[in-house]
Amino acid sequence: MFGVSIDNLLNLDQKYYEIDDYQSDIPRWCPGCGDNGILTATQRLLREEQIAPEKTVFVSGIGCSSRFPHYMNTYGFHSLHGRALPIAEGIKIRRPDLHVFVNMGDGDCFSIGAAHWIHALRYNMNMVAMVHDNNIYGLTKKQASPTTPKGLKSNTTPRGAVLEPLNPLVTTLAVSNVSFVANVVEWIPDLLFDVIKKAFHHKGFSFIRILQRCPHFTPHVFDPIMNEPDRLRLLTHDDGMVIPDAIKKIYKNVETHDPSNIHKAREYASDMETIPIGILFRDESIPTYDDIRKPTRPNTPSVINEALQQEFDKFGIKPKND
Amino acid sequence: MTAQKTKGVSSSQKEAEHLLEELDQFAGDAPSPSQKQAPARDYHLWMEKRGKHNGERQKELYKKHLTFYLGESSAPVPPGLLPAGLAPLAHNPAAHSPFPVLLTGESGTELWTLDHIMRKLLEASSLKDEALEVYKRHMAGLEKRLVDEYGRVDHFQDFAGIISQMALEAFKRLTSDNGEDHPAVTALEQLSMNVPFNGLLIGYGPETLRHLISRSQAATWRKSVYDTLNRLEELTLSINALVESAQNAERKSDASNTAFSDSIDFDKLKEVVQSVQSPSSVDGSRLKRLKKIADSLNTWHDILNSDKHAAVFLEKFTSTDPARAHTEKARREIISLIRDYHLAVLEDKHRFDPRRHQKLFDDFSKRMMSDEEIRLIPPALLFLDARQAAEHQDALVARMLSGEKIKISIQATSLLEGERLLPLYGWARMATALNRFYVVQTPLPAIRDMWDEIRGALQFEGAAFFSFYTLIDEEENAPVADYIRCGAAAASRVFPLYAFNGQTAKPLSERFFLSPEIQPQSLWAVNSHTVRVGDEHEEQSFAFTPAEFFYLHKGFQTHYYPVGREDEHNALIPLVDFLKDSRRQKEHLPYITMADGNGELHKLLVDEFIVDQCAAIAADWRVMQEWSGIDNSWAAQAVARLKEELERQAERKIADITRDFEEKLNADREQLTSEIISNLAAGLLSDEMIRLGSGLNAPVAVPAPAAPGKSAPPKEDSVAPESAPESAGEEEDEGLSFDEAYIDTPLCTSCNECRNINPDMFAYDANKQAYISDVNAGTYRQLVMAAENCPVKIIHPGKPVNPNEPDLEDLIKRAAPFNS
Ligand SMILES: Cc1ncc(C[n+]2csc(CCOP(=O)(O)OP(=O)(O)O)c2C)c(N)n1
Ligand code: SF4
Ligand code: SF4
Ligand SMILES: [Mg+2]
Repeated sequence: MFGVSIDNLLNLDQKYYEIDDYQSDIPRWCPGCGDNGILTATQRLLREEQIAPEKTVFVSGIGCSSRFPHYMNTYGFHSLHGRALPIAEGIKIRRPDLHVFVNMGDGDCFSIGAAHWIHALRYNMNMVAMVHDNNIYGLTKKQASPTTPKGLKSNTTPRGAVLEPLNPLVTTLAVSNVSFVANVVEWIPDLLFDVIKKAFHHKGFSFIRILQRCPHFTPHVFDPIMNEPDRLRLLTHDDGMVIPDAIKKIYKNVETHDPSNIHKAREYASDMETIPIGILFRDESIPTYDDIRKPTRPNTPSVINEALQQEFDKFGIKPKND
Repeated sequence: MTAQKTKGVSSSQKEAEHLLEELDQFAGDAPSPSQKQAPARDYHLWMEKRGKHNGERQKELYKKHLTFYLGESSAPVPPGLLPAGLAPLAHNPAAHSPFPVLLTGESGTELWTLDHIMRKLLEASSLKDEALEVYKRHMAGLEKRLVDEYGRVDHFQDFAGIISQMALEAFKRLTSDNGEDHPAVTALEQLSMNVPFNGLLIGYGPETLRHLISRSQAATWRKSVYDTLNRLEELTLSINALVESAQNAERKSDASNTAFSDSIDFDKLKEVVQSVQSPSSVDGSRLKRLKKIADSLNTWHDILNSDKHAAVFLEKFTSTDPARAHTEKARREIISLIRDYHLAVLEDKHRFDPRRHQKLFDDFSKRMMSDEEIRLIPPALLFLDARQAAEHQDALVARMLSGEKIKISIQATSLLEGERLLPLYGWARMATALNRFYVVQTPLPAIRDMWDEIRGALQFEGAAFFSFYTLIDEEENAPVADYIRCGAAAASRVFPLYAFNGQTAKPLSERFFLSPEIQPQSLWAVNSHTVRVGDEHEEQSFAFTPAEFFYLHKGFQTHYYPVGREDEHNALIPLVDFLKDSRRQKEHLPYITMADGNGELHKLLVDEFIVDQCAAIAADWRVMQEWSGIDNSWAAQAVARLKEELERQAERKIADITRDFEEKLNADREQLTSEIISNLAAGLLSDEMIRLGSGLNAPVAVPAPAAPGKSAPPKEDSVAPESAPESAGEEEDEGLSFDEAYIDTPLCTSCNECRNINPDMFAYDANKQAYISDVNAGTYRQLVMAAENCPVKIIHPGKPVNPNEPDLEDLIKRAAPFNS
């Protein structure tokens, strides 16, 4: 009657999510920490996909990078060191309707959580796993991690790390059922975003290793590749990462790589000189564990209740009445 | 034993149940992390039960309130009060103005609201479940952007272009393959089949009605003269060909054969050559004649067929004399055009014989025009704002009485001046009383309710009168949005939504239309809401009277007096009850019910001034009800009184006018009656108007209609060089200097370093990537510091803007590495 329109179903119960709607606390990472860029790229993904915050879970272990769920205005689970993956798997099997993301540090995933990592790859459950690889234990103030470069001095290796670092790309590509492997750097936001987006759309376990700057403890580890852009080999393909022209102007080492070719992927992965950036491998035909073990009947509370009752009954003592 | 065991089991059972309950909650509709409760869902009306006082205190309070009622005292009212019937609506975050609207349809005569289109978009998507949710959210985003960018100010642009661009942009971001196989894109394509996507998106503003009316009138008119236009078109082509052929023939007879070019229609030429071979031909005079006719027809043709012609329909009526001169000129010019048209017909058939026809055409007048030709003269549209109308009252009355088939619109952007109600509605009443105008009155927000009537008035063969109210917020901190206050004018009967059909043959009650929107059956429009009183909930109705309406406007607050929680007494009665008793005895005092920001109800006493206003408006309204056939068993005499008054007014005006124009009338009666011909015709032909026309339409012609997304300095998705602020980006490509500070926004990793240094200078864009929002918001030193601290080294400080900053030399040196 007042010239007012209120029967708009869009405005009434729909909201277009802006980036701010996915942001909760102000991140407490050090100034210049690469985790910021990963957070932004992820928020951008959710905004672009208009995923409802209540339909999304971020699971992490322990570490600087594992503070990630605190900064996402979604459901989150800041779990135990190295245990993000099994928890994420539990969530996914119980609530297949949720979008599950896992954020782990290099220590978290490749060291204490290595067993879970291998099996998560093999289980191939539909989720996105990001490893923030800063080549160090950040939160606990500089202990060598499996990816710490040889010679780097840390609290646990005061005279320099003695071992060759682990190559996580080669490792993942060797696990049965692996279905999506990507490698990116956090300081090229457009590529990071594109890869996270492709990972999100991949059906299966999408493993992304992200090289992440830690200006506090490993300020120079990435200098060689940052100073020499050609040491990054950008892999592009219609089914892989898309590279904007402007990026190609700065990073000239661009190659076309078909992500269905696992042999080629392994070849690129083993090259320690030139770091492959992009989607190394992708195969959607690999069955996901969530599909294979889809519950035949819904796990509703009454179903659970019934099952529990049956269990309890086992402890009951029935009067011998006959 | 057994019992004990059982007990043990049951306690753990309890625990399990408790756990399950929690689980249930979790699995069920647990609140989402982001679902911030919308205030509207929390906004409820309520009041505490109020006690009554004893006799003494009652008397005291009555006395206090009476002094106020009589205008002898006042007190400030609590802030944030809104009429209780309106408050839940105004506090509903989903409430919004129906603008922008889309003017569309084959002949540009359908009016769609954005809501409606969005709803159609949703229906058409045939998406389900989560995909539908996501899609809805994208649509909500789209709608928000449309409203943000086009909702408030006037825009007059190609909607199909806007929406498809926005949609595509959104969908491109959704998918990596340019949106081609995204369900939303398919939905959009499907939808374009049943939603008219071509049209003009028009926002809420002072020009909105002018656009709507003139566009719609143009379309209506064009449809009605479709055949004539087609013939004109053919004729124009034909004449142009004739001119060309004749020119070539002339050239040929001059000298060479080379004048023939491939582009010439040889058959036609042969015809012409043959025709000019008779001794009378090849005379330069025919060529001259043809050229003149062609010029005239071409001008007409361009005007009538261009999209811009709507603007030419406008007549700016700012002063009487020019308006009259304008009309004269228009009439002459349109007649000369019709004359040229007939000339062209003859010339085209080679039947023009100067000896026989010249005289006839020299004396060509309107009497020689057919009805259809007369209809070719588009109706004049006169747009006045209320102020102009008041200024040129006499001239306007003259026009209204002239019998001209003019379409007059008067629009007010405000109904009140101080405490005075402006007489806008008076004009509509006068037009109604004249009994030959098709009258439509509406506040802009209700235009869709009255759209059929507006269309009817435009199609109506005779004169039409539009009375519009478009509140444009000039008040700072107005309590509610202007479109609500505007719409409230109709609900309160201050400015009723009505239409009066000009066809005199119909019975009065059929001609008079009161919109059902404003509850025409009842004296006052009423809204019901649930109110919590103490612990109970009850349904209460709240009338929306002029008292509520006036309260929404600045300057009226002194006429309201707060009744404190402790100040209730028996003499207080609702204003609507008070008004029922025409004697308005002062043993009772009237109040209205208001609600504050928390939904608590308050009573406000209103004074005699407001009561008088309400009573007067109620009387007018009752007349309207009677006219529309609603028997309010009240007012036969009131009608008579009003009619008498109007007639007297009209007579007086007629007398004035007659005196003014007597001379003229005697001098040329025939000319005066032919004033039907509009000023528009003059507009169609005069250079000035043509220029004005193109000027008015400049926004349409300008290529980039505020392309969405382009206005923001940083680009969203690409790292293309042009994504840097323009100047810098271009210079970079040229390898030139970097004078202006800029950030390679697409490379920003959102670390917040720069924003920690100066959040006014650096801002994040929609992708949370930094750009320089204001170089002048900080010092050059800060810029350089930010450049040094930026971990990805993408801040380029450029040259300092303030040459007087200390230590500049050093800073420029430090900036150098970031500028190369
Ligand atoms: C079971 C267990 N062992 C050890 C720790 C101590 N701890 C906390 S974080 C961390 C390593 C973090 O490194 P990383 O996963 O690379 O994360 P970053 O901080 O580098 O992001 C360790 C060893 C712990 N919290 N829990
Ligand atoms: S220590 Fe390193 S990884 Fe952790 S917050 Fe600081 S910069 Fe980031
Ligand atoms: S300092 Fe650089 S990377 Fe960080 S927010 Fe500012 S521009 Fe972006
Ligand atoms: Mg680490």
